[in-house]
Amino acid sequence: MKSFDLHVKVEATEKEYSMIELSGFLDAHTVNSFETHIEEVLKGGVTRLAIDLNDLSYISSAGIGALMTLTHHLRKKQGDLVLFRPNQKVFKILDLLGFTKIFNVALNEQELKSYLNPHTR
Amino acid sequence: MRNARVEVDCPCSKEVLSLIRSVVTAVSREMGFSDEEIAKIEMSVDEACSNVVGHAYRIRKRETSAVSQTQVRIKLGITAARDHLHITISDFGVGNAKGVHDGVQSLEEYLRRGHGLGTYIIKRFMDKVEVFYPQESGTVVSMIKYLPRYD
Repeated sequence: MKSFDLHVKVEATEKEYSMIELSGFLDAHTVNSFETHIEEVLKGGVTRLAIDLNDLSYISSAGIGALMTLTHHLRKKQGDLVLFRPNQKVFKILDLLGFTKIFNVALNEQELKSYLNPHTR
Repeated sequence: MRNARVEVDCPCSKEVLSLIRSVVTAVSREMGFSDEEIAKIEMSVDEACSNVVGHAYRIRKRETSAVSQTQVRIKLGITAARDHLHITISDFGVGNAKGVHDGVQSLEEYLRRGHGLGTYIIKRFMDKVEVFYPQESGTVVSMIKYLPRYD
């Protein structure tokens, strides 16, 4: 069977934050791989992180749980997590469940920078 | 597509979750559900299957003797009826996956407890959810989603 998977791409770190692009799906099968990638990123001392969800086709409760854990971790370190431009389907799911009130969700670059630039907070 | 039935019988492993979602999504789309309703159905089925898979993994880890393949399979039944979609998720031989009853009742409760979101999702997104425990071991989760009526 073809291996469907989660692809994680770490963008170059800017001064204010690091960006990770996810594509594929974040479910009970792929969440461990996601957490492993995140651990590597966090080892570099990152506290402000944006995750580009535009190409993420599906997220399950396991994926949401992983994002919640990450959010708590970063906020404890005076940083934060932003979910950047989730596609319509993922945004709808998060919104229906109430998570758009809990996560920072940025639909464009301007919103992203306002969440993650420490000078504007 | 009415009164059609699709069955999927596969090993109880995380790798098959995306396949199961694809099948459910395809049937839901054929029935004429909206994108939002399809996303709800997809997620509900995935959460129920993930619960079964997770339970099977825990059983396998506990068992000291080899567990035969017939004891760790998941069976998905999808019936496209005239006005509703009926989905059953059955596991065989992995005991009672009581995770469906361990869910939270609200997002606030999930935020306090830190687990139980999957069951909350199923009950929130599907119109009817029941859990059965057949006399032989195993669990059957039954879910129904009604097509919207346009009066």
